[in-house]
Amino acid sequence: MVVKIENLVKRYGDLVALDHFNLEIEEGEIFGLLGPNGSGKSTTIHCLLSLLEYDKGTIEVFGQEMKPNSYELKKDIGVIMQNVAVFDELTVYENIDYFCGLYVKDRAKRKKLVCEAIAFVELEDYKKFYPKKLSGGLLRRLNIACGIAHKPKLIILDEPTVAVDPQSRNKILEGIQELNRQGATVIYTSHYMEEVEQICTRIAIMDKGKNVALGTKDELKNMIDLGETISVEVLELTDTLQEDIRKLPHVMKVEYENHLLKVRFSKGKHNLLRLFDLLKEKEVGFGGVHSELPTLNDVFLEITGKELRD
Amino acid sequence: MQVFKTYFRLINSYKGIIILYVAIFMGVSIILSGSVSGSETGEESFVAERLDIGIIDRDDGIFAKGLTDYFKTEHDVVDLEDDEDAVLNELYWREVDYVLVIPKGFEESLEDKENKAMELNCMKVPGSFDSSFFEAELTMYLSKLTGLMESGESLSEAFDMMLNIRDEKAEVTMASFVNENQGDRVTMFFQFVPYLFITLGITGVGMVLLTFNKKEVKDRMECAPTPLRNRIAGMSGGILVFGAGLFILVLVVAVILTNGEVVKDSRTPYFMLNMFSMLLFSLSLGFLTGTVAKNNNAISGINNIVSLGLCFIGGVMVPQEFFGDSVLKVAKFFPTYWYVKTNSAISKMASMTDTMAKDIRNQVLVVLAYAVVIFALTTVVISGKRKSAA
Repeated sequence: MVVKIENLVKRYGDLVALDHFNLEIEEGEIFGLLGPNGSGKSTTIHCLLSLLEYDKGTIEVFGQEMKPNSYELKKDIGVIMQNVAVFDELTVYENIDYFCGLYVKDRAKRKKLVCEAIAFVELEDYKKFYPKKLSGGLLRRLNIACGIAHKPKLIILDEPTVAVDPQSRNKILEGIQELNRQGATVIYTSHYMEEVEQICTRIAIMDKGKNVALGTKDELKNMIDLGETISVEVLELTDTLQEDIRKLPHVMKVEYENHLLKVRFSKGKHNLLRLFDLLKEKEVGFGGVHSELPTLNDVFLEITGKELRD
Repeated sequence: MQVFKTYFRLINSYKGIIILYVAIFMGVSIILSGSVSGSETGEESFVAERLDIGIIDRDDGIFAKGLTDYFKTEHDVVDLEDDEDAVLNELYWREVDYVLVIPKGFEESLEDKENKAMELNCMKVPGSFDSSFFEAELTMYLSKLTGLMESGESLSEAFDMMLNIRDEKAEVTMASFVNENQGDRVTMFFQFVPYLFITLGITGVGMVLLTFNKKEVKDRMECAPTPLRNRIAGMSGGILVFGAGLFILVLVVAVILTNGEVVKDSRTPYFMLNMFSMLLFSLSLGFLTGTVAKNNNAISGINNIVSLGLCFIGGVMVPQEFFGDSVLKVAKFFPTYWYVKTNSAISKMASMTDTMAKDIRNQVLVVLAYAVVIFALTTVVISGKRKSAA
């Protein structure tokens, strides 16, 4: 077990940021903490790193209790925070060297590690650049390099792709997967469900400081009744016909807006076929058809009654 | 070691500001040194002023000649015609500073021991210092002359004796514990040091500390396996080495600007002691600024206000002698006042007496007390911040 959190409670005055939160992360996982802003993801990470004192509960990392002075444990942890944490006054190389130097004292070894980190985030051409001269994406890559240069066994990334262009985001996500392939366990927090779905092997969905769902993405999607959502472009749809659609097997919800019919089905077979047959039978002309499988947003919606992006 | 090395990398990134402040310091020091380098002490720089004195003799005796002989060596005696308008015109255009009119019968009245002598008339520029000065000289002259005549000398003998008295010079040697070189280059140089220390203390400590205290950077360092005490040690080491560098820099500049005078000057160790207390105060001030300021712009603003404010109110830039009582009362609440006071006391010192040593020690301790109080206050602020962050 790399991380074990039990009954964690953290209060900010009257606000309960973490409410008896539990979590277990195994070695080799890319573990996603998914939740809307304010759900307690960053608070969890800050408590895990002993940056915040908590009111109740226990946190273990690599089987040992995590405390502010757990320096031996900290040696194996790499942190990439939501906000870029570098010195504006130092160059790319100097920044990585400084933060790596807090973990690795041997100068020759550190030099090698810094060069490897620079190569990993592809900042070779920017070694002598100051952070202010870097674009948002490059800056995020520098932020990551500062956190992983010492080759940690556990890497914690707290929303590392906020305000990053799609190209840089893909590079960052590929990089995280590569670090995982090299043996690191990764904790990844985000409110972008697509990212979490793309890279995480296991996901915990958080809301109001609680762990509301936990599992692989397939396990999470299986937790809900929603099977698929079928969207059909229909020029005109009467109320009677909408009622007829509602009566079809597995139909959970029917919406018609701006000439677009959206039907949410629970798990079951031949849903699309039955819908087409009905439209044909009622001689309703239709255009484009899209079928979507449930997303983590659907999972979150069904469990909490609100959207992840709310 | 990593924090220590990075401290100087960060200092290096502020070298532009540091060079600017050093340049301002050197520029002002050169100007101040230059303003006193050609000056002399009070006795050496005194030059007697010659006044233009007009004498109108209506008595037509030897008194006017004796008076002229006496005063012509120190003043210029101008012949004037006995015409009131012409005299007033001369006075108006400052062609003469004082006009003495010897009335008819004056000499006779002077020799008449039974009756009081007549009074001399005069015309002068109202409120003029020069005429008052000459009037005082004249009164003294007449007093001596009548004294001689009362002791039995004739008028002509009294004139001769007056001339002899005037030619006799007394040698005066001043014995003092006060150094004659007060206001010299060395003193003026050390007087301006607080400006450099405060500006660079806030830049070199405040700005660097602020960079290390940036929340994101601080969090990342908290996550690292380097204990807080190691980081504090690295930071403290950096600040001390920076302070030592600053101290040495000032001494080197002092040697250059005073052409080595500072090395031979017996007061230099005391100046250094005073300077050391100001250095510690400035580093403490930088420590506080770096802890409470939100960003570099705020530090720059604080730096300008605090450095100039402390230097003006303390008498670094304007001599304390120019301050009114109320300003002096306020100034006593600022360490720069005590620094300047000590600097001034040291500058007047020829040899150290017990009283002087006590005064200097007490004043240096006042500045050190400010340093300790600010340092303690900063640790309280840091402790409060840490608690609220947790």
